[in-house]
Amino acid sequence: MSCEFHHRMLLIHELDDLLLNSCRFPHHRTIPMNVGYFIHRIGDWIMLMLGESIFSLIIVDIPNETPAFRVTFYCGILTVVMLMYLHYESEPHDADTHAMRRSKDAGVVWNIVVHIYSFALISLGAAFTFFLTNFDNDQNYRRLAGGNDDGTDIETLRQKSANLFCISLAIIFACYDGMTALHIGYTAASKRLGSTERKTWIAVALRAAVIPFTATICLWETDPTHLSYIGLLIMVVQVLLRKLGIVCSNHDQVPNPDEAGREPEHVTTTPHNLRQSVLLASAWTNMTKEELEALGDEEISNNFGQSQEGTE
Amino acid sequence: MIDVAATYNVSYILVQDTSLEGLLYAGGTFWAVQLIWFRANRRPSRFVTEDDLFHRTLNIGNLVILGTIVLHIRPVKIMSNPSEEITMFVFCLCLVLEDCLELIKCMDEYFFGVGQRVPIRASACFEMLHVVFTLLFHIPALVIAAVDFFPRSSNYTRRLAGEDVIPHHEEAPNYEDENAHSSNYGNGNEKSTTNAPIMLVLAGSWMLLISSAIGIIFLFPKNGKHKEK
Repeated sequence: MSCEFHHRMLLIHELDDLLLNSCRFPHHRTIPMNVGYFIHRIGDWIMLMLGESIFSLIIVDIPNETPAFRVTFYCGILTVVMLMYLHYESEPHDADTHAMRRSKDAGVVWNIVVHIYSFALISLGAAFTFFLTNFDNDQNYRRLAGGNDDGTDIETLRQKSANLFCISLAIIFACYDGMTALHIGYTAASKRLGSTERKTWIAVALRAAVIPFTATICLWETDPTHLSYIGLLIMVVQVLLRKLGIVCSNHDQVPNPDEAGREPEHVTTTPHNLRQSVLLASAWTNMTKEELEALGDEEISNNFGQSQEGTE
Repeated sequence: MIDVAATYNVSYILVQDTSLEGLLYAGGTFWAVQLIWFRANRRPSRFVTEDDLFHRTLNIGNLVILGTIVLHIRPVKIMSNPSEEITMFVFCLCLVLEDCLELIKCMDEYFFGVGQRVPIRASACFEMLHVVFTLLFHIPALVIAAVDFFPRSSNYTRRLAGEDVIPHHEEAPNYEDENAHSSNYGNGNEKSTTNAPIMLVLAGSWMLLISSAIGIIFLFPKNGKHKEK
């Protein structure tokens, strides 16, 4: 009886504690996230969004595939492929260089950016579906766009799809730059920009200018085929600007481990290390394993150490 | 794979309707699914759960609910008509059930988490706060959808059974019946009422994101002290 009473009291105490804790913000320590696992999962999610854009292109089935349709289709595929490339350029491959590990504030903002970026990718896929459906007859285009056969103007629908395409693409570019900036951090970014030449600033300014330019294309062009050409061209420009930025500043888009504050792993060349390497690489030498093992440390250092330096 | 279907359905909403209303529904449904996805990945990135019957049942429940949510991500014309279509009601119901499952998981963490008890409890409480916050938006959305749908559920049942249900107003159109039509399909002032559930769902996702961002940025200990052992 007393045992049962004790258990009841314990449960009441636990529930009381739970209610009190729920109403309190955790000022004390919590369980940290496994950043490596989480960024891997986020990568899967973004891959899913990019796959949806491809899916939106493939799923359109129209009876008469004109050359213009095929060109638009392949422009769309190439655009998504380049988006994938730009995504991997914007994201670090190591948890130590990720915004979530660098700073909790940057991690939270990065999380919000990922939400916006994911939806922009979905919108871009929908815009591609619109573009390809345009090659079907006007009636189908109206129906897919949610318009009525009797009242909706085809130009209005084209304008809407152009708006969707341009604004989505501009948001995606802004998200790429935002995510890169969050991974690098203010201090490292200012150090990079402060120590670089004028051409780097030009590359940065051009990259910033691409975003408003992309967002305003729909003001002067609504033709789906032309928009898909322009979209692909802008993607190529973005990729080139990224490469230009890397060449000018001698930095990757995402920070390297040194910038993230992690100590670089120094590899010292000792006779022991060389012996291990040589033994592992016996397949590439004319010597047998026994002959290699019989070599002294000095012989290994003199022969293989020098040849390795020579190769470098 | 369920998320693939979800993104396809969201994209289809946009293809069907590129207006602001289409964006509202696409955003509302998409971010609700993304919230579930983030939650599903939050736990494995912090804890190792046992492979027992209880946790398996929870996971299966999660997947069934997510599948039902995805099934009910439909074009705007259907989702914005909760008085005639069950879609919005089931969508909101599944979101509430998903929140309840998440609460059970948090309780599991809180009471039975093994390891550093104080941080585990703090983490569970923080997550519980999130779930209760989203419930504050999802439950009103469910109530609005239910209030809209259930008085007219007889028509829906008959239509599901294959009967050709002719609305009352089409038999004898007059001024009063025109009003009945507008309340059924929603236009003018009624439209805002029919969009209320999805607006609440969208607000729930974004308010949670923004409030947790504010909380983490301003209220969490600085310099990584929240991770200290």
